[in-house]
Amino acid sequence: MQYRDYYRIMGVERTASAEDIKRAYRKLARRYHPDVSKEPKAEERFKEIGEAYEVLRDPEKRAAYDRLGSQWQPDQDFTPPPGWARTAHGNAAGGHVFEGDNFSDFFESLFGGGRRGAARGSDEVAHLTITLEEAFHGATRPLRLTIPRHDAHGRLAPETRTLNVRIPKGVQQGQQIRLAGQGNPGPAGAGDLYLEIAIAPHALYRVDGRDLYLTAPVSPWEAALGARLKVPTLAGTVELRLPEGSQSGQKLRLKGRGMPGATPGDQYVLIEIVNPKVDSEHARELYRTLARDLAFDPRAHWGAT
Amino acid sequence: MSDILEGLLLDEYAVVTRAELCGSGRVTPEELDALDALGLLSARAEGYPAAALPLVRRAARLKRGLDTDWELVAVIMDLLREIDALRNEVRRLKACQR
Repeated sequence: MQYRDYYRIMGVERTASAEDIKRAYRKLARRYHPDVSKEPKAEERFKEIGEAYEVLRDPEKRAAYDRLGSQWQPDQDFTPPPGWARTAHGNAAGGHVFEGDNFSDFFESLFGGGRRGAARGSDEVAHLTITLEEAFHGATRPLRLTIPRHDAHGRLAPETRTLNVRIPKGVQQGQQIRLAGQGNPGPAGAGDLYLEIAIAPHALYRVDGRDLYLTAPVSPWEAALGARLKVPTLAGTVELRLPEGSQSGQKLRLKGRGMPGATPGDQYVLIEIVNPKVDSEHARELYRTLARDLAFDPRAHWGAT
Repeated sequence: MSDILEGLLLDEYAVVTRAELCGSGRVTPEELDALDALGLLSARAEGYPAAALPLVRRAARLKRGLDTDWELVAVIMDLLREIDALRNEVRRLKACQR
């Protein structure tokens, strides 16, 4: 186990006052708090800072830590001095900063490995990316997790386990699924595991809440004369009537064909007119005929004659 | 391989009890009341929306981690929510350009 220099972690002198320590902590916490920080390894750093603050803010723990002396180097091999009695140094891990989070072996060797208050293990958040089809139909996905567990000697060791998780149909981007009791273990029960769902971008559909958007390329004559289009939906192909005189940018709604839910979403079909390639004299002639016979000026409203 | 686990989807329909919210959110009933008083939880007659769970956890983490008061936590939460909404909008707009 390695020695931890809590003063150095907090960036304060060994003689720092309680007020200095609090100020230093607040400054570091603002920078590394995982909910607001963009720093790399913010969470790791924040845990370290939390542990240091846990010791230095408590006069009893700080005095005990100081008695180890100042001759230690950071990361130097460390064993508690003979006769070191953890119980003499206040309540095990008081846990100011993190709910039931694990402190280092160094901390635990000095102050015990107990957890504060309810002493439940901490919650974990895992991220899972699923396909839009899986979100639509629901799915069962194996999930590999690495979670620290106490081994036979009571030490923390990473353990990989696989959970089979049911993804309910209709789950949306960013929603969380709570798996009670699947988080980190603790003396009074395990914490919860929160699965945060991300939906991978889809080749055809764009998702907005429960609604789906699909772009339908149509030919000029389909748009002009109307047509029946075979349109894919996540539940299978449906036929959509394209009204006569449709224009690019128009949106047709397939009610209830979006993502499932108490109120299912809709699927919107965006019309996009695509002109055929002019790759022959015959094609060119057809366009010339249109130009001659239709007398159409799409920019007439500009008045720029 | 383990059995299939069924979780609680934290959507707009799921509801959790006050005790569940305190237990899972790691807050005391008094802290929950403080959060409620700030208008962060939108309690209903039948309980709290399950979506309040991550919110309470985040608020409690901020309160302890930043060693600050609930009023400031509420301001940070509002800003974080706004950032989340903007990020989602950016993602949506990027997807539109594809």
